[in-house]
Amino acid sequence: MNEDRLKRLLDSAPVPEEEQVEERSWRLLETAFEDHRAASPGHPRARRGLIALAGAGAALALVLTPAGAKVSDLIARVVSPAEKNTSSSLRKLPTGGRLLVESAKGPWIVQSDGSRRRLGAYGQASWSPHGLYVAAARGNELAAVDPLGAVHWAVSSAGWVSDPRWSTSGVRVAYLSGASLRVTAGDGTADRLIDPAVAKVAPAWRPLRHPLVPGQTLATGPGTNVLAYVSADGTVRAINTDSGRTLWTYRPPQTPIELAWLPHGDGLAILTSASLVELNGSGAPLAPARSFSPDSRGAIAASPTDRRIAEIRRLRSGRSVLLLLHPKGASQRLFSGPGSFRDLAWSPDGRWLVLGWPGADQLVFVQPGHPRSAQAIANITRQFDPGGSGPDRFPRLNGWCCAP
Amino acid sequence: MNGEAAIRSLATGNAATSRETERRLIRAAQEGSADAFEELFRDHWPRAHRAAYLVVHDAAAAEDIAQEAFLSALRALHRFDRRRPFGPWLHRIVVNRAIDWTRSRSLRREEVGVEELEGESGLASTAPYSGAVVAALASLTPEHRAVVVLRYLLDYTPGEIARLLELPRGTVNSRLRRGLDQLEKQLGGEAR
Repeated sequence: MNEDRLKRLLDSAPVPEEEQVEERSWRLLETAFEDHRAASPGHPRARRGLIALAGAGAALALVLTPAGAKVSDLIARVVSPAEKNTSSSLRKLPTGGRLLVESAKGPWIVQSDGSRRRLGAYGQASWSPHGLYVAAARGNELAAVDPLGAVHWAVSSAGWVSDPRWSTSGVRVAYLSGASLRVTAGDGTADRLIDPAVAKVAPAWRPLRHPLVPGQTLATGPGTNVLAYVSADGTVRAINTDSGRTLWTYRPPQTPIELAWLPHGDGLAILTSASLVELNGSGAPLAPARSFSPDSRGAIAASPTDRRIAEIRRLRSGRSVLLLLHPKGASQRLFSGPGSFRDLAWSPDGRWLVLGWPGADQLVFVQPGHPRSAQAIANITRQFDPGGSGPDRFPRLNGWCCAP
Repeated sequence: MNGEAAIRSLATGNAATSRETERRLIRAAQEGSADAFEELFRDHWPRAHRAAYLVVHDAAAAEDIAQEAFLSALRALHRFDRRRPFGPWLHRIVVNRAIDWTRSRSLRREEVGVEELEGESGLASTAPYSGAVVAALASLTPEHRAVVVLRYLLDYTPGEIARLLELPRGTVNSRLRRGLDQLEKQLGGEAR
């Protein structure tokens, strides 16, 4: 073998997306460097003994779970374990509000002090905008259940009910019935068909443009009830469900799997099978789609307070990562770990994120401004599904709502 | 010297001054210069990323491995000994992680079903074979690929490779020899 020839071959061998990878890696490293600098000795924000680790979720994996021991021992030498970050049971939430957690036994409401109540044999549960009710499904039935488990109303549908979503105005509930999209009034009346053929993607109500005044729980008026959903052909549609008027449509490059409105309805994030697209409030793309490999898709959650979008993504290395996408394109790696992450929710105040980690049997709470302060709660399956075990029985995380 | 000055020096200097310039960049980065850190990144990323890819043959994994290596470097930046060159330290992390990843992938392949593998890119399923040398490297074990990449992409001597991988020098030499023989078989006359 001619060694010079081999050197030339190795130097010129094609590496996929070489330049794009360098640019997105630099964006990640740049953010990590800024946080590192902020926490370095001598900096006003420095904390003794703390090594900055924005984007260094791998090290947190070491801290939070034995599974993280797969991470390089080099990281282990840099970061000493901090067992205080892991709790064996969910005793309290790191900030206010209530979690909606759904196991095979049904949905549970977890109060901020850690106390919890199971609502009954329902599934697909989601919060009403002020947490006064939970919309949930049981076979062909859609029900509104209060936090004590009392059924407020129920309607029957021809098809299997799934993905109920309560409007931010409080006066409508959208849901899938078989392959159709329906909307009912917030008191369970006036149930009607919106689209007979839709994709199996949860619809998303546009947030109110102006917040309700304290004490007000319902909003009315033209343009209040705008719903985004995915039709059977993969087109995203925004419609006024009161007038029936279509406001705009958008056909993403791949099949949509999740929709998330930005605060005040300023935009809509669309997670597809291989990209993340962000539209403005009129349905026009704000920037080129962020592409990723088709098998890395996870979930997204739009911040309730600003234009940041949290995303979980599966890497081909077998790890998963929690990213925070900033409006101007920068991404911040908050946390990573082996296996898959599932479900993602912001706290109502926009200060914390929570994700499910079935392989580690943990819920992980991450504070985007302080990723090192992540908290993990272990033994989740046992707490919400007594007698159940294994990743298949790990509960779903269906939302983090406001304080009662 | 601040980061900008170090960058100017690097841009105008020659090979003989590059080590001194790198020391200045590291010092500037340790003192908080993002420009200096970016210069270090731009200097070292392409070969680190390429090395990872040529060992693992998986684009996403290579990206992840190279990123994790730089994050490790960043975490240890404050205690980095400026008298030592940055490249070997980074390359040691990249190559060892790439070997580990490839080994664990091989193990995982034995444990998982066909359905899972079909969804992954890798030695048997992706398109990185557009380069004949990449395809030829795939016939080597990850350990052999690593020494070939260290020797012929990153230009380390067998003695340096032995120290980087904590192997006997004889082992490095035999892996290089076997690797070259195998590549010659795979590439035929093309590499001559």
